[in-house]
Amino acid sequence: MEQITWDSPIMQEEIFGPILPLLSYTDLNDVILKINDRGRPLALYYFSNNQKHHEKIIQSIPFGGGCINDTIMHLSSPYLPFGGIGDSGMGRYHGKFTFDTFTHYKSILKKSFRFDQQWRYPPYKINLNLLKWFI
Amino acid sequence: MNIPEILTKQRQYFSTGVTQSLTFRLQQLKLLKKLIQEYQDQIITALQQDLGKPKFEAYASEVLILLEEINFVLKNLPQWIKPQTAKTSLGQFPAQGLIYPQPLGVVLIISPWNYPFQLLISPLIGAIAAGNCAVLKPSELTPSVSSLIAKVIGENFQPGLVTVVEGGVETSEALLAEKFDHIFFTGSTKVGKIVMASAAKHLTPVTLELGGKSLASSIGM
Repeated sequence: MEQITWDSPIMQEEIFGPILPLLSYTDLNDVILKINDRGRPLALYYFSNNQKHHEKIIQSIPFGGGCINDTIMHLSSPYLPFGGIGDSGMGRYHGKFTFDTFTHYKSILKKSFRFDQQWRYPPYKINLNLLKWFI
Repeated sequence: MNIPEILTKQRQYFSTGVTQSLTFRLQQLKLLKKLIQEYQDQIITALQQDLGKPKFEAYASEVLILLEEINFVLKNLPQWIKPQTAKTSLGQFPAQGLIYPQPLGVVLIISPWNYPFQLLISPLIGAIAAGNCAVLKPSELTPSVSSLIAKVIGENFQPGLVTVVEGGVETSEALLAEKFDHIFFTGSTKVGKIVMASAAKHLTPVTLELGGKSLASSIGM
């Protein structure tokens, strides 16, 4: 679809189907501002051979994930976390990241009865400056 | 079985500790893999009935991707579930720091209609791998896929481990009224807010995979 503006109805809702609205731009900075003005996207795909522009897009637009010079395939790797940010969601999954989503990492400090550092308890006999020096 | 009964059953099953062992988790994942392979033709047919997906696309995006995911998990899970050692600070000497990966308990997975099989089973793989029990709520908008999943899971898994609950908005509301240990929701931004609000009542953490106006493609020189 051509002759679309950012305010067109098709730009307001998620599209499920083979429809591609086209908006043109001349200034990359300008389009970055426009995208950042809206809900944070789940995915962004950027087609270009300009390495500097790749970095600029990646660093200056918050989005879930995406591809450079491809679409959608970032979700097919178990090594890449998949998930949104802001309006496009929270949390991430695939591979180890799904395992982590459903896991609580329980911290345990294991000690023995044999030895205890008495200076930790009141009445405090250790010099505070000595403690500060240690840290 | 009504929803509170399913929850009770899963809580009881979880508290037996059977899901904790590596052998059990691998067994269940291998069973899931076997079932996906066994039923792949029916899965593709159901996807064609509900959505008219081309065979190739249905296989690649909903079957193959899951088999790859399961293989990846089967290979790496023995490493992931090991307690890790951590450094301790001087004030704690002598001590050992340990980090134990523990399952959360009973989790709820709700999936949408666009990838009705993959988006339900992919989180399930991780939920089982991590040692959880799961209630699955497939989309009512893809009835063939939903009933196939309910049938295959129902016939092959302990209901205490995995149960499929079919239904629409009212079913989702009834599920969300219950206390889960995690809710994994894929769907719209609007419904995501409802899920999070319901989860907040039980202080249940959520993963929200939302779309909204999501696909910003940018083409430049």
